[in-house]
Amino acid sequence: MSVVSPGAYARVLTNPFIVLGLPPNASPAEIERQGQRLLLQLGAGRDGAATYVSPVGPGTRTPDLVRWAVDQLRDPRRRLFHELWAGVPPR
Amino acid sequence: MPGGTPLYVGIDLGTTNSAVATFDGEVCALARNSSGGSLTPSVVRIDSRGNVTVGARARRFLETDPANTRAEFKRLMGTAGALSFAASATARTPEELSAEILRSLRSDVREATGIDPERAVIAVPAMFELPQSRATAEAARLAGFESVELIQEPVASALAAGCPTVNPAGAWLVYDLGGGTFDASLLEARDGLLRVVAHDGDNFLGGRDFDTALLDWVLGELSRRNGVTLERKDPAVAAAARSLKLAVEDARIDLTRVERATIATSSPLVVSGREIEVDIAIDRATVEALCAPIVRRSIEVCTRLLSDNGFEPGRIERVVLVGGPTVMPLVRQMLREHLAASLADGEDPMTLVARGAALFAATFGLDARPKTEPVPPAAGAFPVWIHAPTVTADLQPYLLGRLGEGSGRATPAFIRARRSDGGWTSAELPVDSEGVFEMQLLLVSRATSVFGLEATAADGSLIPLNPGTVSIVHGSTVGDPPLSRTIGVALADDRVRPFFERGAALPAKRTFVQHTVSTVIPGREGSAIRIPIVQGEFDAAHLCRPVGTLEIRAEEIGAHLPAGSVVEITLTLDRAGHLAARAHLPQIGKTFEHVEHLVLPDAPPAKLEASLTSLRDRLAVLRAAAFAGRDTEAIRRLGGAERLLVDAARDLDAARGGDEDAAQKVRRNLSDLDAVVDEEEANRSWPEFVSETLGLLAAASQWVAAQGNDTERRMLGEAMAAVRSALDARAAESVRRHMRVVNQLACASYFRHPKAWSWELDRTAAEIDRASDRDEAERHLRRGRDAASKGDVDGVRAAVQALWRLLPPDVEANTRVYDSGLR
Repeated sequence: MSVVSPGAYARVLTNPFIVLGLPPNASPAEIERQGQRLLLQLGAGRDGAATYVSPVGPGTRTPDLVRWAVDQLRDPRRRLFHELWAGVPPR
Repeated sequence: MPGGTPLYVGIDLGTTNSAVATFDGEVCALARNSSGGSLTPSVVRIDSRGNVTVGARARRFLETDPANTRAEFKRLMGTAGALSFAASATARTPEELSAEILRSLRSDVREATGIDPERAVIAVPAMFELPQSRATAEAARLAGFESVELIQEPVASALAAGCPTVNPAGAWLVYDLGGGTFDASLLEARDGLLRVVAHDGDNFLGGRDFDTALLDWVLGELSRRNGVTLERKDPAVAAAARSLKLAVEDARIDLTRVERATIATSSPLVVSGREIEVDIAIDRATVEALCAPIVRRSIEVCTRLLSDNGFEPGRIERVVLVGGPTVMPLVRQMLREHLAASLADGEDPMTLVARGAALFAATFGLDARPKTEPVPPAAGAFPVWIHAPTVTADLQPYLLGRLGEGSGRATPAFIRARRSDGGWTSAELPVDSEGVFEMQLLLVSRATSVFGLEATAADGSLIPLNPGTVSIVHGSTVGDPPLSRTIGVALADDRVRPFFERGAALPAKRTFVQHTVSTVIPGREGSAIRIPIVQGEFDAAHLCRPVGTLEIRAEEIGAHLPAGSVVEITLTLDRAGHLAARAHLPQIGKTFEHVEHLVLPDAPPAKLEASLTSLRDRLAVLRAAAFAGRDTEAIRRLGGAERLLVDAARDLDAARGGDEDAAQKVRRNLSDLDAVVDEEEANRSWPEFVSETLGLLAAASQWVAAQGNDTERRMLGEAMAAVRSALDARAAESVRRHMRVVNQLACASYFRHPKAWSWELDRTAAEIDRASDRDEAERHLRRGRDAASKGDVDGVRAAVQALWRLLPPDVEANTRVYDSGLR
C-alpha cells in the first residue's frame, strides 16, 4: 500500500462485491442468493465462511457485514459506486 | 419450533386506534376485542383504585374525566416525560401506556386463538426516530412479548395491499394519513423483493390536524356569537376544548357521507364560570376549505418525494391509501388530481397495517407460539439442524444442514433432497468433515414446496433423519427492514460522519476511526471526550437531531490524552431501534460504552419562542431581498416557509397552554424551517456558489483525466452531468450530494500523484500556527520534510495526517454541534 488513503483502503476492504466474493457484474438474483448462502453458513458456524480475501488483505465476514453488503448492492446508484472500487487493482 | 399450524401476529399500534392481525400461513384475520370490534382506541384510563381500562371503555371517559384518561401518547413515545393520573396519584410513561394497549391486544389474540403470543411484528411510522422505535420495543417487552420485530407502516400496508403479487415490477406510493402522523413511501418491487426506494413524511401531520383546524374554527364561531374570546392557548379554555374535540371529530366523520352536520355537545361549555351553548351547523364545503391546506401539505410531501427520486407522477402504478382520514372524499379527489394515479381501492384503510405486519412476521419466520421442549428424536432417526429460509423470492435457494450427535450409530455420508411433488430431486451430495452439507433447491413458483431429506451411510444403507422434511414458501419478501434516517457521529466542524445511511439494512454494525480535538487532562473540570450521535439527512450536523451521546470523562480515561488521539468508534443498531456505541482508545488500551439520554430533546416554550423569533427575523431579511430582486421563485418558496412559521406560532400558543404534544410539533417544525432558511440563505449567494462549484469541477476533471482509470473517468462524467443538471435546477442540496462523488473521485486521483503528499505538507505547514500542540506539530513537520527529501512517500503521508489532527476545527461551528470532541 503506498498512496491509497485510509478511506480508500476501507472502501476496498469492505467493498460489497469483495465481501460477498462476487464479480462486479453479478446479477441481482446472484447477489441475493449469495447473501442468503453466506448467512446460512455463518449461522451454522461453518469454518471458512468467516473470512474472505480482498486485494488489501483478509477481512472478517460477519452476518451484519453480509446484510449490509447485499443491501448496498440493491440500490442501483450505490452499486455503481461499488463496482468502481471492486475494480481497484491490488497494490 | 413446535409442529402444527404456525401463528404469526402483526400489530398496528396507532396514535388513535390500534389493531392486531393473525396469519396462519393461509388466512389473515383480525382479532376482535372484548367489545367485538377490530379497532381498539389507543386510550388508557386509571381510576382512583388504580384499575386500568383500555380501548373503547376508556375512550368514553376522555371527555368527562380527562385527568385520568390519556390518549395520543404515541406522539410522545421516546420523550422523557410521564403522564399523570390524578385520582390514583400515579404517573405513567408513554411506553407504559402503550404497553397497556399491547397487553390488551395480546389478550385478544389469546381469546381468538387460545395461544398467548410471545413474538410479534409491530408497525411503526417510517419517520420514527431512533428513541421512538426503541420506546416501542420497550413497550412490547413490558407487555410480556419475548421479542418483537419492527416494520415500517408503509411496507406493511403495501404487503397487505398485495403490492408485489398484483404487479411484480412497478412503483407504488403508500399514502398513510393517520390520526397523528403522515407517511409517504415510494416502493418498488423487483425480482419478488419489495424495496423501499425512499420515504418522506411529517411526524406531526394527521387527522388530528383536521380536527384542530375545525376546533379553531368552532372556537372562532362561538367567540363571535357570544361576544367572548376563546383561544386554545387559554388554560381556562383547554378543558372545554377537549369536550368540543370529540364533537368536532364526529361531525368530520359524518361529513364524509353527508353534506351537512351539526356540532353539538350534550351539556353547555363552561368557561370562566360562564355557560356557552354549542349548536353549530357546518357543511362539507366549510370542512373541505378548512382541511384543504392540510391535505395540500401532505401532497407537497408526495410530489417532493417523487421528484427527489426522479419519478414523474404518471409513473406510479398505484396509490395505497392507509388511515381513517383517507376515507374523506376531499383527500381522494385531491390525490387523483395531483398525482394522476389510480387508487388501490377495496382495502380497509384502517386495518391494512396490522394485516401487513402479520404477513411480514411470516416472511421472517417469527412464530408467535411459545417454544416447546424439543421432541425426542424418532427411534433410529439421526438428528440434523436445517438452516433454510421460510419464505423466499429466490426459486433456487440454498439449504444448509449440520448433523447432530448420532450416539454411535452409522453416520450419514451422503444426502439427497426430493421434492414431494416428484418434480425435482437433487444430486447425492457428500457430508463434509465438519458434518455439514449444503445444497441448492428448486422451488415450485408461487407455492409451498416440501422436500424430503434422504441420508445414506458410507456403506449405502439408508439412515432416517429428524426432521426428515423441510418446507419453503416461494413468495415475495421484504429485504431487511431499512433505516428511516441516516445515523452518524457529529464532528467538531459541523460535519457528520455517517455510520448508517438512510435505507441501510438492519441490524447493522460499523466502526470508524476519528481523532480527538482537544487534549484531555484528568483532574481538569469538565475535561471529557463527547461523542454526539445524530440522525438526519443534512450535511450540517447541527441540523440533524441528536439521538444519544457517549461521553468519556477524563477521570475514566485516567491518563493525559493529547489532541489528535485515535478513537475507534463502533455503532451497533438493531431492528428494534437499540443503538449501542463503543469507543476504543488504542493509546491507553481502554474501551468505553454507555450511551446517555436517548430521548427526544425537551421543548420548553421559552426556548422555542427564542428560536421562532430568530427564524422570523432571518425570513424577513430573505423576503426583503427576494422582493428587491423580483425573484418570484424565491418568493414562492418563502411563502411555504412562512406558512410553517404561522403554524408554529399557533402551536406555540397551545404549547404555552400546557399542550406538550404541540411543543414537540413546534420543535420539529422549527427544525425543518431552519433547514429551509439555511438553504434559502445559500441560494442568495448562488452566483458565488455556482462559480465555486464550476472551479471544483474543472480541477476534478483535470485530476481524473491525468491520474484516473477508465471507470473513474466514466463515473466522473456521470457525476458532473448530475451536478450540471442540479445547477440548472438551482438545487443546492442536490449539487452538494453529487459533488461528494466528484470530490471522492478527484481525491483518489490527486493522491495517486507521486508529489501529492509533499504538496499537502507544504500547504499544512502554512497553517502550523493554529496547531493545538505547536511543538508536536513542528516535530511532525520536520519528520515530513526529512521523508520528502528521501522520496519516502509513506513517511510524508504519515506526517501530513498527524499534522491534520493537530489543526483545530472552527470553534464557532463546534458550539452548534453539541460540543463534539471529535474530528
